[in-house]
Formats: sequence, C-alpha cells, structure tokens
Amino acid sequence: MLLHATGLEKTYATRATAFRRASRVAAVAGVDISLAEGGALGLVGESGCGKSTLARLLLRLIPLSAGRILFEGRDITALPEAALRPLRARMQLIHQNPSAALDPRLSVAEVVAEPLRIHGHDPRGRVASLLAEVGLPGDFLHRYPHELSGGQKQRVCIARALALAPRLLILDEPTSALDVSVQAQVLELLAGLRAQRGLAFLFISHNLAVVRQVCEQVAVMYLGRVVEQGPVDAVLGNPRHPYTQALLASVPRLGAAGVVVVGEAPNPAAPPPGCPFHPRCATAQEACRNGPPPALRNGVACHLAQ
Amino acid sequence: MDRRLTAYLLRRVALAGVMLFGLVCMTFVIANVAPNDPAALAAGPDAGRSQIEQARRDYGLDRPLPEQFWRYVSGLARGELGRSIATGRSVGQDLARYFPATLELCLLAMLIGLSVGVPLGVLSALMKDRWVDHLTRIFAVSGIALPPFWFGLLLQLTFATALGWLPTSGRLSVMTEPPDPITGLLLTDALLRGQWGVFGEGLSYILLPAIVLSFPCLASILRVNRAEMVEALRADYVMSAQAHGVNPWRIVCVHALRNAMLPTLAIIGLRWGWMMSSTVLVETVFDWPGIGLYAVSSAIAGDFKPVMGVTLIIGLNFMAANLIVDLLYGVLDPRLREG
Repeated sequence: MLLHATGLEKTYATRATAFRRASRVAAVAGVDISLAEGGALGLVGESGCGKSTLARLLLRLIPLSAGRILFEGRDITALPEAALRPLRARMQLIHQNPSAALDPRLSVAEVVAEPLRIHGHDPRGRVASLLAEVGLPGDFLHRYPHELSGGQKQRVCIARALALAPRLLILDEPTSALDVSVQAQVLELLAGLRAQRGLAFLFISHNLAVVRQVCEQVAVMYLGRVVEQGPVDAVLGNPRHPYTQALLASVPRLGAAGVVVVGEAPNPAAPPPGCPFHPRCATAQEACRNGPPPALRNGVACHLAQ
Repeated sequence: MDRRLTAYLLRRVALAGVMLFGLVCMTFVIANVAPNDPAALAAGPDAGRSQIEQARRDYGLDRPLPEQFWRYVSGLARGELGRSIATGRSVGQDLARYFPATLELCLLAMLIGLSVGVPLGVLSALMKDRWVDHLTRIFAVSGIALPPFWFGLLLQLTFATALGWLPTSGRLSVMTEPPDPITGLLLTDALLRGQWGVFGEGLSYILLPAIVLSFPCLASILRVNRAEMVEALRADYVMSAQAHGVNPWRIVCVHALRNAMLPTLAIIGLRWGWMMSSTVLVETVFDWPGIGLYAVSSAIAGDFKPVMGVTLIIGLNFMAANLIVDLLYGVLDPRLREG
C-alpha cells in the first residue's frame, strides 16, 4: 500500500461568543483510506463534508486529532517536519483554484524551480521539460501568473507538483474552477501523466461523471465519515447507501426521477444522534434514529443495507 | 528592463508633473486668500498709507492676478521663494538651513516605524487571536488615536522632567559644537566625522520627538501589515509551499511577507507625507529647529512667504514619496505593469 490511513479524526474547537457556546466540530470523524501504488481513488461528497480537510490531514499539512497514517509503509503520523521533508517530495497536492495556488510575485520559472531548489536539485533545464510535459511552451517561463488563463495556471501547478517526481498526487477538485472546455483537457493531461509516471491519485470531486472517468475506486463522504466505498462501477452503478443513491439521483438525466434528498446538511457542530444521515433519509427506521452511527461494513455504512 | 515597465514608469512621472503644477497653483491661491494685506506687512507696522501703496507697487501686488501668477511661477523656476521678514534672509536660504533637521527627524521616525511596525505586524498575524495579537492591536489603535502634541508633552513630562533621562527639547545642547556639515543631518555628520560624543548627545535629543512622530506611522504600518499577512498566510500558495517542504521561515519571509509588503509600501508613502506635515506640531512641542517650527513662527508673525515655502516643500515631499512608491510598485509587482 502506498497510503494507508486508519481512524483519522480532525476536530476543531469553536470559541464561545456572546451568542453561542463553545463547541467542537468534527470535520473528519473516523475515516479509513487505502490507496495502492498507481491506484486512483475518488472521494465524493457535498461541500463541507470534510473532503478537503481529509486531504490536508493525509499530507500532514494540518495537525490530526486522532488516527494513524502510513505512507510507503512508514508511519508518518508523528514524524517531525524535518524528517517529513524528504517524504513531501513524493506526495503532492493540487488545489482547486490555481489562481490562489500561485504566488503572484513569482514567474512561472521561479514557481516550478522552487520545489527543486529546496530539495537540493539543480532546476536548470528541468523546468522547461516539466512545462513541456504539461503542454506549455517554453516561452511561458518568464510569464507571471496573472498573464495566464485558468487552465494554463492549473498546468503550471501540475508541473510544480511533478517537479519532485511524486508517487502520490492528491487533487482537490482540480477542474471545478475551470471552464468546461478546459476541464476536459486538464483531465486528459492528468490521465496521461498518471499512465506515464505510474502516479497514484486521490481525486476529490463532487462531479460523479469525472470520478467515474478518472478513478477505479470511490469513497463517498457524508458529514466527516465515509458512508460507502468500493469499485467505481459497483458503487456508482449499484449504490447501496441511501446518500449515494441520492447523490446519483441529483445528477440531471433525461427522463429519470430518482430518490430526492431533502433538507440541508446538518450542522457538524451538533450532528444528529444515530446515523448522521437519518434526518434526510427517506427509509430511516427507529434503529437509525437512536442506535449508534453505523460502521463501514462490506463497503457500506447503513443499518438497513447490512 | 522591459518595455511595459518603462511605459509604466514614464506614465507615473508624467502624472507627477501634472500634480506639481496643481501644487504650485494651490500655494498661490492660499497666499492670495490670506486675510492679511501682504503690502501692509512688507511695509512694516508703522507705515503710512502711501508707504503701503509704494510697497504694493514694489512687490508687484497691484498687478492683475494672472501676471502675479506668472511672476510667481517664473520666480519658482529660478528658485526664488521670496524673502522672510523675520529672518531677513531669502526663504530658499532659510529652507536649506532648516530642512535637514526636519529630514533627519522624519528619517529616524520612519526607521522606527518600519523596524517596529513590520515585525510586530508579522508577529501579530502569526499569533492571530492570541493575547500577543490583542496587545499589539490595542497598541496600534492607540498609536492612531493619540494626538501627537499631547503624546509629546506626556513623554517630555515622563522621560525629561520626572526621570531626567533625556533632554526636554532642542537639537543639541547650547554648549556643544555641532559637527561641520557634510550631509546636514547632524547624526550622520557626527558619525562621519567620528565624533561619538556628539552623536550620543544628538541621539538623546532626537529620540523623543522621533518616537512621537513615528507613532501614527508605526501604528498604521502595523495594522496594514498584520491584515495583509493574515490574508497571505491563508493563501493556497502558502499551503503549496508547505506541501513542498519549504521551511516555515522561508514561507513567512519570502512568500507571505513579500506579498504583504506591497500594500504596506503604499502606506509608507502616504505616511511619509503626513509625517512631514505633522512636524509642524511635533517640532513646536520639542523646539526642534526644522521647517515645521519655521512655518509656525512665521505664521504667528504674519510672515506669509515662509509659510508658502514650507507648504511647497511639504507638498513636494508628499509627491516625491508617492512617486517613488509608485515606481517601486512597478518594479516589485508584475501585475501593475499592464496599466
């Protein structure tokens, strides 16, 4: 296993103000994630379900509250930053918004050269070949981020992430800030790079069609937990959790009227008792309302599906 | 240097030229709406009607305004600012004599503002919402809110009168021979001539007025820098740098601070201009022999040529500071070169 994480938790403490009490918000509430060398796992769920927090936890960019992370078989949970630094070269992150992910004061050449330089490599020559690999011409070297289109900026971010020859790429909605026509080109580029370099992807998205195209495995998150997990074809072709069914039904299709999810996602600071999805679930029973939250068993976390 | 950058710089310089003309017009208008009759002042307190009329003709004050304006502008072009009645010297000579003291005071105040304001802003942003942050923010608000003359008196009472650590006012003790001028800045001249005793004494005199003058500037640099640092530290490019294993010092100093310093730079330009004008108050409180004190004593005597001269100098200084900031912006921020 390239990446193996168990029992990941991240809770934030909110402070008391004149209008509300102090509380604890579980952004990620006990998640297990495994990703094989060269594999591609899609992570789907609505906004606020903890997908991006999970990505940051896995890369040790924010401190974890509980859990354990193994990267390349090595426990990195408590590794000090200095010891983690060489490993950072092999796990990289692509942000959703490429405009915010590039320092506006640095030229394309400086942006791509920085990771090489801090890991002690000579950036000369490498930068241009990295740009060529992501489909950007060499005369982009001396341009600044504001002179590039959204798609071009995302290509620069990809080139920067590839500079250190990573094994794992975590992509946090890499195409959702881009125009639809550009999305397809960037996805194609990513698929090509993955095939050539044998990269493993953790692909975060709320677009099920994109996940189906890019990934072999998929995990569906709801309120900080994984509620269903398995091969893409099985989960998206034959969803067993009512939330996955609702997600699929929300994708507009001709002549289809599936399960409709009602209401808003609950406040993570005060999650409902029992199964966290029960207030919005059409098939909820007594056990769902009062029992403990269902554990993920055989790829699904639902009292009724087991 | 690329072509767009050159074009940007030229545009800024051209704009400064337009502003300079505006400034000259303003000082002329101010002089002409002053309540005193300049001819009566020039003729002296005991002059009779005919002498005043004679003075009016001598100074060209009976000419139509456009002609007076032309004479004023062409005089300025030759460096003529008129004559001070109180000192008997030309205003140009007086300004050359008093300006270095003001410049020295402002430079030291700006140095204090930057060297305290920027690090405190960074610290405050790194410690956001913790007690260090709250303390520096209270400090910053008080810096903007305190009237400088009141704050100056407070410092004089504490450090000069009560504790006796520092002198109350002036630039140097009357017993001390100032160093022979090289730059006109007393501290620099003392250093260049190796007169350490004079340097130390000069420092003890300049410290309190410089602190008072720096306080509002320090406070606004701190506030802007903190806000910009908080913003920059939250940016995705900071997280990307962290994900690459860039060390925290480099993230703070290179990525975050470099971006946060751009808006801070704009504040520095504005504050430099305001600082020059608040020397009028600070120099009066501390009896500092600069252009602020010169303007105040001339205004009290009803001597308006020096006031015009000082106004012109302060205005020029404001423009120069903002022009330099604009030019630096063009060099530092690649986004501005488009225009």
